[in-house]
Amino acid sequence: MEEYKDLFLAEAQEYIQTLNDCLLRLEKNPDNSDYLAEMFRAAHSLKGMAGTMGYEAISSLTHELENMLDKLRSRRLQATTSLINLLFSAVDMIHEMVDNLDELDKYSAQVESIAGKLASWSEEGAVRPGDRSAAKDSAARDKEEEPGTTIYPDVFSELGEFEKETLKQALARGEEAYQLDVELREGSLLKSVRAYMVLKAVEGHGEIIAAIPSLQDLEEERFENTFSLLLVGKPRLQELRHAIESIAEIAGLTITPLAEKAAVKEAVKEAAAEKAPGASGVQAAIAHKMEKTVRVETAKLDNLVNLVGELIINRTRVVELGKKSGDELLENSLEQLERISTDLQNAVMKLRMVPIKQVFDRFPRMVRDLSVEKGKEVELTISGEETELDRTIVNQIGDPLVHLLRNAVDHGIESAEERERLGKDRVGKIHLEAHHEGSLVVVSVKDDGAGFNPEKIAKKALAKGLVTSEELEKMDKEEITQLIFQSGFSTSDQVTDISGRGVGMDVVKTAIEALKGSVEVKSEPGKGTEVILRLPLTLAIIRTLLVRAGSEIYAIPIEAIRENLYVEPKDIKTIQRGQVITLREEVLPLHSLQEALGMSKSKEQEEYPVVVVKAGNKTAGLIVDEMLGQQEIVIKSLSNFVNNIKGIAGATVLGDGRVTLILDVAGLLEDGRVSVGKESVNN
Amino acid sequence: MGKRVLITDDTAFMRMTLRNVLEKNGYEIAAEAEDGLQAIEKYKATKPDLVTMDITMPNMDGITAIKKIMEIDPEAKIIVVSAMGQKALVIEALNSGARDFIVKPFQPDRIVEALQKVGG
Repeated sequence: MEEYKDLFLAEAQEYIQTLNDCLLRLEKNPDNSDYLAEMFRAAHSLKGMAGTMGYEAISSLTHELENMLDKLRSRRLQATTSLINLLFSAVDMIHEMVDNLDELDKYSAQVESIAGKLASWSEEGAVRPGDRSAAKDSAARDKEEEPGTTIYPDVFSELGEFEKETLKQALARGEEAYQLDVELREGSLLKSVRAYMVLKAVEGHGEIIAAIPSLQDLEEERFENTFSLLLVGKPRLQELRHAIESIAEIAGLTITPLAEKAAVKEAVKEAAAEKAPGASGVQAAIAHKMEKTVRVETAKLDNLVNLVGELIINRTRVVELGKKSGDELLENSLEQLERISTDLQNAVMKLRMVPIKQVFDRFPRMVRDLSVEKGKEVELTISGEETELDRTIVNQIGDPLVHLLRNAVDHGIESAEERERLGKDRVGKIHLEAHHEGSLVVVSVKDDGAGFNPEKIAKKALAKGLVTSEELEKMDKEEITQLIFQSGFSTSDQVTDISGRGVGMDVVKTAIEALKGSVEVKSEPGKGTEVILRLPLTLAIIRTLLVRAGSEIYAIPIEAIRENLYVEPKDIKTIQRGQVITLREEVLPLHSLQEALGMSKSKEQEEYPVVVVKAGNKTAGLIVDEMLGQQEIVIKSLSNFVNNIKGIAGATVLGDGRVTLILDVAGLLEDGRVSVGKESVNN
Repeated sequence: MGKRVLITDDTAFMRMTLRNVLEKNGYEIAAEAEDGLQAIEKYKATKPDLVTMDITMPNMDGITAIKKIMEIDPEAKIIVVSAMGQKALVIEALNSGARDFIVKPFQPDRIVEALQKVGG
């Protein structure tokens, strides 16, 4: 079973997302049966999967959830806000359990409590159960199956022109039409072959003129555990039923005669009339989505990216050799090779890209919960969720964004009364946006709330000793606002449950900088705040400055470099055994890169090239022997033997085949081998 | 008396697993075969009620064996026991006369269900 765990996790997450999404939409349209149907399917599948895997706690809670959804679907209950809250808490519980599969036992009490609430709710709320069951008895002689355990789509609403014509002709010939709903056992394998066996069993009883999912989807196994067929002909029903039911792993079969031709005709007409989105729209959308995606293990993708990296490195080498040879034919074909491999590289890099939607998807729910909790009215709008960026980055911007959104709801948006008093719309607006900007992805969180108050920030920063009053005087509003990024700063006056657990914007900044990105805040008191995150598209390729120190070439990531300069020996001063220069009235510690990396000092020169690097709020100048220029490089991580060297982030191979180390500036500055800006000079 | 089953599989482990499951559920093991050739011989010798048939085996594969057994006895009730991902082969086996299939690694109740359904 362990081997299926990953698959279970991946699919379970998707179902949970579906449940969350649909609940949110259901809250706005409590009568929409499409959402209920979709949720029911998700809960049903989840239950089956959890059961197969032996996760009792999950399957029992999903079972209750499914029951409740069934009641909503059949209109025996109304989706009130309090009921939706309960459903949300059930979904959350499931989510938490899926995240902690190894410790399911500890949830039993909570599961029992929620499941109990779901079950007892059903009893209280049941409306006229009598009517329903009576109607059912007369309706279906043929249905022995438990009602409502499965959702069967309505085959008719899916019929195309051709099928409708076929159906009409068949009916005209006096043939009958039946809808066959087949359910496979949960966890069946090679489902497509099961479907094939069913189709074979139907052979000789008539013609299948439509199927949901389509026959092709059935063949390619793109379906859950149920499928429906529309059969026309003159089947011998008992024989047909027996033939299908004697196939292994068939859990249920419903044969619904569409005997009254009028009804069928009407259905056909109706289907034609309401081509608009409805149940079929949702299904079509799902089917469409499935067709367009293939699930691939991320390890395989990473491997592919790695291989292409190697290819690019070797290509650069071959191209250089080709240029040296002066053979024109060779050069031409190498150019072609270069173009194609560049395209290949781009294509492969795109594979690593995922839409930021994956992260954004959970926010509507979160903002809703927060605003309910805080008693505020908040509307979250999202745009640009299709913007793509590297998978590793997407995985890591979730938490910073959660923080920013919490801040916006908690501190940004005022209470509805306050907003009214200020002449603003009662409902606070938060806009979450993503778009590309050159080789960067820009994500912004903008609210129309209170904004930051520079005076308050200044006061607080002063009180916390983050700045001196002289420093403050020199700062403009913009600069003061940026103080919130200082570590130890938190704008909230009181610590709340939502944000401000003593951590604040500094954490966001650190997280974004770890991704080689930057954060900017724009705020206007009374009008709102916008926090802008700029992130690189990918972490696999970086722009670097190549420098020579001694006989070695090193690559310094561009975003760590503040500036480059040439320093004459006479400008270098010695303070406390360290060398410094004065740069624009600031003292800048200076270090030989070679020494910093533990090698012998470079020889005296008339002029030293210096790269000024910055990590966090530390700066230092690195003396090198030569600056060689910028280059985009593919990062190769070092093997386990040597992966813990401070100051080295990885390696790459240059066009001429030389291996070059990539400097980790933050590590270099932290290590203590290099004394750094402000702080250490003061010591 | 339980139905008699001929188990065909090239791995001793799988034969043993099947034997355990089937005996526990009241079936009698007519014989065990390690490849298609043995399966045909033992089918002729023991005339079992049901056959489980692995697909990939040395000497003679399951599909060929199914075809030969069906020639000998068109009423033979053969259930394919296949590994995952052998869709095309399973369909070929079904078209060659196999009545049903199960997928390894199987759950005991699935194989019993398949045998019951096919055995009637």
